[in-house]
Amino acid sequence: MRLLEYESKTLLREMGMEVPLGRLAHSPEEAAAAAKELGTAVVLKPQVPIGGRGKAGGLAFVDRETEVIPAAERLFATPLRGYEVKLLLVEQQIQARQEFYLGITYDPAARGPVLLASAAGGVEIEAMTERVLRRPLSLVRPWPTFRSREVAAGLGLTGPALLRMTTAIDRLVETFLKFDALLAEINPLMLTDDGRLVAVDAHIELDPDAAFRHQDVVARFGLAGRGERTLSEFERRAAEIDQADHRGVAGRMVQFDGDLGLLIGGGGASLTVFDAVLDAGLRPANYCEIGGNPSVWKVKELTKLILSQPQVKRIAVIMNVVSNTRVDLVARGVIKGILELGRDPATTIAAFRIPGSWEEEGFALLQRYGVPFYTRETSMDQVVAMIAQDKR
Amino acid sequence: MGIFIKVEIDPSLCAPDGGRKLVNVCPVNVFALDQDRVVTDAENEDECTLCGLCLNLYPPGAVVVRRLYRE
Amino acid sequence: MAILADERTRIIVQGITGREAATFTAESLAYGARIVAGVTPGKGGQEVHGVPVYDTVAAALADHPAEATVISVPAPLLKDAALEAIENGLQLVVIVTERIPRRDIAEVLELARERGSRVIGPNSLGVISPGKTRVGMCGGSADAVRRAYTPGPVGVMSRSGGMTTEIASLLTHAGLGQSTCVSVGGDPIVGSTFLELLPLYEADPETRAVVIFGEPGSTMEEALAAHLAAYGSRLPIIAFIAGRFADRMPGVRFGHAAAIVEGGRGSPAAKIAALRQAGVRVADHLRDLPSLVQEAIG
Repeated sequence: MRLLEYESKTLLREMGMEVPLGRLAHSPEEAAAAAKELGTAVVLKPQVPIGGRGKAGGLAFVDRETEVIPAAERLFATPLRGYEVKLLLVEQQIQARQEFYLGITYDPAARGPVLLASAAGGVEIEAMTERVLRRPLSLVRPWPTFRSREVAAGLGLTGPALLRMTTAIDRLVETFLKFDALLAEINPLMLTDDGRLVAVDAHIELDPDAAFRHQDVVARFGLAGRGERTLSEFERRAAEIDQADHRGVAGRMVQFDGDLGLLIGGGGASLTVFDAVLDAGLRPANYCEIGGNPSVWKVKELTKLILSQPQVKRIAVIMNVVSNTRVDLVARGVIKGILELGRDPATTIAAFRIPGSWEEEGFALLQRYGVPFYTRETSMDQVVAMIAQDKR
Repeated sequence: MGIFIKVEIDPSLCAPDGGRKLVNVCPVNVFALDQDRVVTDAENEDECTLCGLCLNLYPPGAVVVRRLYRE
Repeated sequence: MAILADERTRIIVQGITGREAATFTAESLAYGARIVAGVTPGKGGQEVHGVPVYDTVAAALADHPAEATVISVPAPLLKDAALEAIENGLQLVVIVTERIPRRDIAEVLELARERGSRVIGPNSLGVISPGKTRVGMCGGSADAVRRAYTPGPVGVMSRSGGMTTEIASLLTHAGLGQSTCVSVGGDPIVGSTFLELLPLYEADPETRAVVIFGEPGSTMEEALAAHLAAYGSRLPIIAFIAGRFADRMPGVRFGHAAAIVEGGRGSPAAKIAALRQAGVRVADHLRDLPSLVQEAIG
């Protein structure tokens, strides 16, 4: 769950980090009013969930009152990497003596959080050529302040600036842990001429799997559902079918424009089958994972949905050896869906390959309806290859 | 009746309650009460998992689960 | 021989009274696994398929010493259950639970490293040493496990639980049995990677080849490749990497939580190239795995 800049800064400010004085604006007029209140030298920052807005031409530094409205109008009218701009953060400009980078994220190789710090802020961490300090964070023991001090010293700071940086690092660590963040980044963190450290841009991502512990934050910023892909009508209906019946899961239905419908197993099996489909030169109509032990009704409805696309001629039903899913119940669902569409299972099912629990029962059913089926001895990609041959 | 499964009830063998226990025992709601009579729900018949719970409540023959695709 | 667990391994199940856990407990017992106790706080004194249930791991182990645990509890309770297992000295901790907060699992893995416990998972279906034992739920019912898995010389490590069984089944059909199969887990952070398990297979005289099943995302395959390129292995390694199509759709997650290509990392094409460079036999098609294994072990 990626927080917008102003949301990230709200959390950081509440944790004791200094951020620039700012106001939100939903329109050019509100931006002008905010600029007037904040003083002339302001920066207008679109609140969209992407990094590198500066490079994308998404920031406007404004030094004269008359320039605010035209600049804001331009920003509101210019989508950034597909995101419409609906909200601007208007902030006082900060004059930096030096810019720093501070970030904490999970390092999959180290399997824990790591603090990254650099004395060259302002650019993306991936592009940083300056030395980046890395310090692993323990989750078993509390982060000691001396560690922050060591990092501050490592950034070349001395005197009051070193002490302020030490506090800033402590605050970032606290924020990262308190909110179950996957990423907490301040870039740039600016050291001003009068010795203050100000978080000029910030980016926090929260862990969706920990959202149950942070319902207050979720509600406060309206995070539920944020960042999810917009579903097509087809995908939305698949989600409805899934929710209407708790038995089994129909996850990740994605629509494509091919003529071969797919009902495939979850996880690694679906990846394997989809590769095989593309390798064989077949054109998939959809990606769809089913798992758990779905009801006959759920499989039937998904089958009908997939076959309802006019270009879809056939459907392939392919899974790995299953232990939880019932072969016979899936077979019933697919056949029933096809029959309800007034079509013939024998010619509409390109291949059925689900070995595993209750397979004898499933195979007897498939045989009865003349459906081509395969046992575990034929691997999933072999089945796909046979479908491709069959087509020629 | 389902396309794949047909469940037949002989109420005369379902003493003393005419088969009411069937309604509760079935995990996929094949059985329902219609007024005072126990009937089967066609849509749910096809959900039958062949678990056999309904076969053990009353004497043999009271409930018969037919797999139409095997006939 | 086998790695991680064999017929002597004594197992407890945390969350044993859950529906899924009760089912795999019964089937694992039928397969011959030595499940000696279960733990569900508040349900101490009950029995699940003849296995006594305790309120705490400490109480369970006091009556029934064990080396391994399978944890199948809701995600919010996972951290506490896993810390309890590690603090009580269990050496093998298999975590079935998925969608665990990142911070919780990282804390569990950090403590496990300090205490020397080996964690498999999270989001794992477990470990199976065919003909000897099963720690977890890989393969389903005892009968289904016997049909898919057979004892033999091939180690299997898979990021997909379902594909662990599928690959074992393909090998079995080709007359190739397995020493130990490990579902390493589909989450972004897991307790044991391919690279960390490889030395166990290398130390197992019975294992003569290792098959790995990789996916988009994570750097588990790359880390293994880098190690092999530098140090090699006594064992031939045969790999299949699924999800090549995901390279064309960066940022979209398919299947497991970790199966996502981000910022140029985790690309299946890059994994395949790195593994081939390191001398790994990478199968173009899943169906080629058994013949590549056969070739490798002669």
